[in-house]
Order: sequence, then structure tokens, then C-alpha cells
Amino acid sequence: MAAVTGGALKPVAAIGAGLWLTARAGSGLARRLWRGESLAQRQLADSLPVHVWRPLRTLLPLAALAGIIAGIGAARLLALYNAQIPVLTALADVLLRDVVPLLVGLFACGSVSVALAARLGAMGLAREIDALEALGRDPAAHALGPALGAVLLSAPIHMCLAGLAAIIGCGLPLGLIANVGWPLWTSFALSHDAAQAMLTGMGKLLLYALIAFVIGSAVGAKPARAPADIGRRAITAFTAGLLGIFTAAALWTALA
Amino acid sequence: MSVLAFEGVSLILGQARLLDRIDLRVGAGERVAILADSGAGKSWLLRLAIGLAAPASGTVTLMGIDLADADADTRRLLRARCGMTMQGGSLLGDLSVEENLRLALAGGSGGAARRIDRLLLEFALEQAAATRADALSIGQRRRAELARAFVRDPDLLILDEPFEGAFARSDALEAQVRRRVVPQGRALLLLTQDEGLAARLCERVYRLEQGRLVQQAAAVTVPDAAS
Repeated sequence: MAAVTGGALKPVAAIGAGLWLTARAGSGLARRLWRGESLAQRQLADSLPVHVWRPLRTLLPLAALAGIIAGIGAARLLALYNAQIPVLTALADVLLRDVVPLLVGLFACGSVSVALAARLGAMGLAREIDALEALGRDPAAHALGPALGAVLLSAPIHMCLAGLAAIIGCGLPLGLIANVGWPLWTSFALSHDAAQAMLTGMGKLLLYALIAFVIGSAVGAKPARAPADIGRRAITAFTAGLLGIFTAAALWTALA
Repeated sequence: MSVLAFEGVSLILGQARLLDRIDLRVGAGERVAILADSGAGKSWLLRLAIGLAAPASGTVTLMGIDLADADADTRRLLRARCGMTMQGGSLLGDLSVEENLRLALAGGSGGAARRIDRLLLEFALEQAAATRADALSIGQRRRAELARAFVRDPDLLILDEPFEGAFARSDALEAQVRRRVVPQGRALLLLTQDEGLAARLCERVYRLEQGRLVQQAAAVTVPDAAS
């Protein structure tokens, strides 16, 4: 019984540790930036390409492909029922509110949580975490803070750009199969309602990115004893991140 | 007052008792060496001394404060009064040498910049100041780590195999460390396998054998401060 309780408490303890580390990383980075620490600014600037710009090379084609898939489905529906207003409204809404945030969230899970778990493991093995502690510095603020800043900045940028890519991808099959022109499709995809869906999607993506961050830092903070541990931690962070993001997505949809 | 004190400190790793009721005091300005073979627990002594690990029993006091009673922030403040090198190196690989040194300082004033420049010069690192630590040779890394240990003007230095890998310059480095320790009256805890180095740098020498500290004969000479 005690073993069962201990096993059930493990994920709760890990989530608690991840939340604690994330809070320390955020407050520590804010303090460092407030003090005008040039090293913090440089570390944040170095994190931006890793977490904001470089993922776009994969993320934008993925979003466009997801848009194409959704567009083909909608175009076939339109060919059968010719109900443009409900189908195109629902398409823009589900794309921007659910599909794109989930897609970008999954991508964040693959990049943020895996990258963090691997980086913290490598830092632990190289005694860099010990060195930060020995220098009287908070390792969370230094090792995680800049990455947290970049991940939080990446969420609105990724959502906007991936949303646009998905809308463009969606417009192609709609035009080719269902004869829906760009002016008609964009009047739905860029409408006030679609903008609201985009904002909701942005909120979801922020939550997913934070989940990926919390899980990556919780898994990475466990001491690694050998280089092989780093790979195992990365896999654990990825699978746990997937579970966390899908759970959050299901709960949000159910409770909204 | 002791800057560092171990009282009845034991450490158990797995089934093995690595340290067994260790008693050690390092007073202000004292230089103490602990000799031990590889795997005997030298590096654990460093971790215990700065509160990175907790003993199974006994107390560790740093700057007069029992580390078991100190919270995380207090422990960080106490560590900030120490200079350290770790066996195998502990520079932050994605930072330059200069940034590694700056990280050890609380502020970025002009005085701090001058101190960093001086240390870079003294440890022959001025050409490598902007180089990322993970691109340095082993010898350069050791020098950078030693420079970082001194950058905060520490009351206590804990050096774990400080010249390991820096064979070509170890004599010059030793002289440099001596110049920065002896005349300044800094306390030193040297953890090493090198008996000669321990005898040359320290006043008291212990050997760590089967988890216990055994005092060795007094060091041969106390080095000349000016040398």
C-alpha cells in the first residue's frame, strides 16, 4: 500500500519540483534583467534563436501541411453540402483555437522539454550546476531563466506565424477543390471571431509551452550519473510532456 | 575562529561509509592539505564543506555558521566568501572565460572589470578572455578555474586537484597560487594526491585513509610569501 502511494506521489512531487524550478527561473531572470546584468541579456539573446527562430523552419511547413489536411476535409464537405458559412466558420475556428495550438504545443514538447532535460543533465555531469551553487548563484535563474524567457516570447510569435501558415495551407485545397476564392476564405479566417479564436489558441499555447518547460526542468533536475542517463531523461521528458499537453488540451476543451 | 570546521562528520554512499567521524578545523589564514587516493572521498569533502551535500552525521560549520541550520540563500552567501576549484573542472561551457569570472562577482563595476583583467593577465589568459570555456585546452581551463577562484577575494580557498592537467605550467601556477594565498593570509584547504604539492603549500597535512583523517608529519617548509 505504501509503495502504491509512493508511486502515485512521485509524479506529483516531480510536477511540484518543476513548478518550483520554473518560478525560481522566472523570478531569477527578472531580477537579473532588472539589475541590468549584461550576462543575462546575452544569455537571453542566445536563447532566442534556439527557442524562437530556429523552430520556425520546421513549424511553418508543419502548420501549412496541417492546414492543407484540414482544408481538403472541408473542401470535400463543401462539395457535398455547399454550406459555406458554417463550414468555413467552423474550419477557421477549430484551426486557430485547437489544431494550431496543439501542433505548436507538441512541437514545443519535442524541442523545449527534451532540450531542457538534456541540457540540465549535461550541466549536472559537467559539474556546472555545482559550480553555479559554489559561486553563490541560483542555478535555476542561470540555467533555466534565459530559456524560460525565450519560450514565453516564442508562444505568441509561433502562434501568429503558424496560424497564418495554416490559413494559407488551408486556402489552397479550398480554392482548388471547392472553388472557394482567397477573398472569401480570408473573410472567415481573418474575421473578428477568428481573431478571438487565435487569442484563445495563444493562451492554450502559452499553457502547453509552460507544461513542456515544467516537465523538462523537473526531469532534467534529477541527477544524471552517466551520459546515457541524459538520453533516457530526454525520452522521459518527451513522453511525459506529450501526456501533460494532451491532458491540458482535453481539460481545456471539456471545461471551455 | 575557524573558517571551516568538520565535527564528527560521516558520509555513507550506498552501503559504504566513505567518511567516518571526520574532525577538521581550518582557521583564518591556515593552510591545510588532505591527501587521498582517487575515490577516497576528497571531492565529497569539498561538497560537504560548502553545503552541496549533507553529512549522514556530524556538523559542518562554514564561517562560523552550521550549514545544517542555514537556508539556501544563507548557504549561497557563505559560498560567495569562498573560492573553489573542482576536480575535472567546473567552468560553464557556454560562457566565455571573462563571463565565467564575471559570474563569480556580484556586480559589474569598473573595479570588478579591472580585477578580472588583472587575473586574466596573471593567469596568462588575456588572449583567451573571449573564448568559450568549452573551447579551451585542459591547461587553460585549469588556469581559468583558478583565476575564478580568486576573483572574489575569498576568505577561504578550497582547491580540489587544482593543477591537474596543467602539467606544462604547474610550477608557475603553483607560484601564482602561493602569491595569492600566503601574503594575503587566506585560509586554504587543498585536496590532492600530490604529497609534494601539499608539503610545499600547506602547514598541516592529513591523509584520508579508509574514511578517517590521519595527520602527517608537519610540512617540510612554509613557503616564502614573496617567492
